[in-house]
Amino acid sequence: MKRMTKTTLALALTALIAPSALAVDQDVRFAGIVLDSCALVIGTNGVLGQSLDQTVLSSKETGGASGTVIVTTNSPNSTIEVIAPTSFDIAPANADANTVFTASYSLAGDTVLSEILGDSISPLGLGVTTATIDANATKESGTFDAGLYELVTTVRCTSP
Amino acid sequence: MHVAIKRGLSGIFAFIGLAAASAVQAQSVAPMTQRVVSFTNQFMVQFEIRNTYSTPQTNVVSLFSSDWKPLKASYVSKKAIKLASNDTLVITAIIPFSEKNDSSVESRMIYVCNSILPDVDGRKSSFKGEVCGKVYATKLQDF
Repeated sequence: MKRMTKTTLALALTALIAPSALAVDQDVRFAGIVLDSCALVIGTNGVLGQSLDQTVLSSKETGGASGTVIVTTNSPNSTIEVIAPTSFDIAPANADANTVFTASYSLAGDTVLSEILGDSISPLGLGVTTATIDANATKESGTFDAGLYELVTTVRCTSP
Repeated sequence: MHVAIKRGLSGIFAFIGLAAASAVQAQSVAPMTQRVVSFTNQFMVQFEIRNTYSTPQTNVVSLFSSDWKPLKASYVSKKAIKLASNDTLVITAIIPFSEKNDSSVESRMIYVCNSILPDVDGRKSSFKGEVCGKVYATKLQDF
């Protein structure tokens, strides 16, 4: 009887100890990659003003106004640049002759930069940035004739 | 003449508060970085374009070399297409490693771009938004 009690006690102790000795934690790891992204949405169009001598059409001239583009990135790896047009989209005949087109931009929001030449590539920070765009057309000789003028600049966002 | 120009400009370039400004901030080109391999002198790449605006817009697909020159001798499944708001399309393109289509070039980096010139109420925007992804292509050696 006494031997049975000892055996039972030993078995009970073993049963209590065994599970804790066998318990093992195993981590299951999950990994994923979020790719860089950049989204551009045009905010407002620009307005071209004219110089008094009618040799410059620019958003910086009197009566002109800059345009805005909202840029959203999910990393600090993207870049932005503004490409000036090579001609007018709509204009009187010969408007492109002797005309030089330029663009510039400023950034505000999560990225802050001011008065950058359009063809300069600038890094963008993470988040939402408002790009203020200016466009300029200058007659190297002669003046702009009367009529409708329209030009399109390209805002380019590139991944790393 | 002075007044005529001013009137014309004011009419055309008046501010337009695009409804698109509050559009979904989604990806315009996905993925933005991609690596592909090929056994031949050409490589194929697939990427997705998206209209990120709240109105239907025409998406224009452009391919550029690493120095931003337009690519020649390449096939693109759709070069321009009008997509509904937030709609997507997978573009397939086949590009040679070399413009001369010879076997001397073993790798190439190109840009794949999706540009949208927003059109709201029949009027074109004065800005074109262009998002560009990079594709790195490598030619595998044939054993």
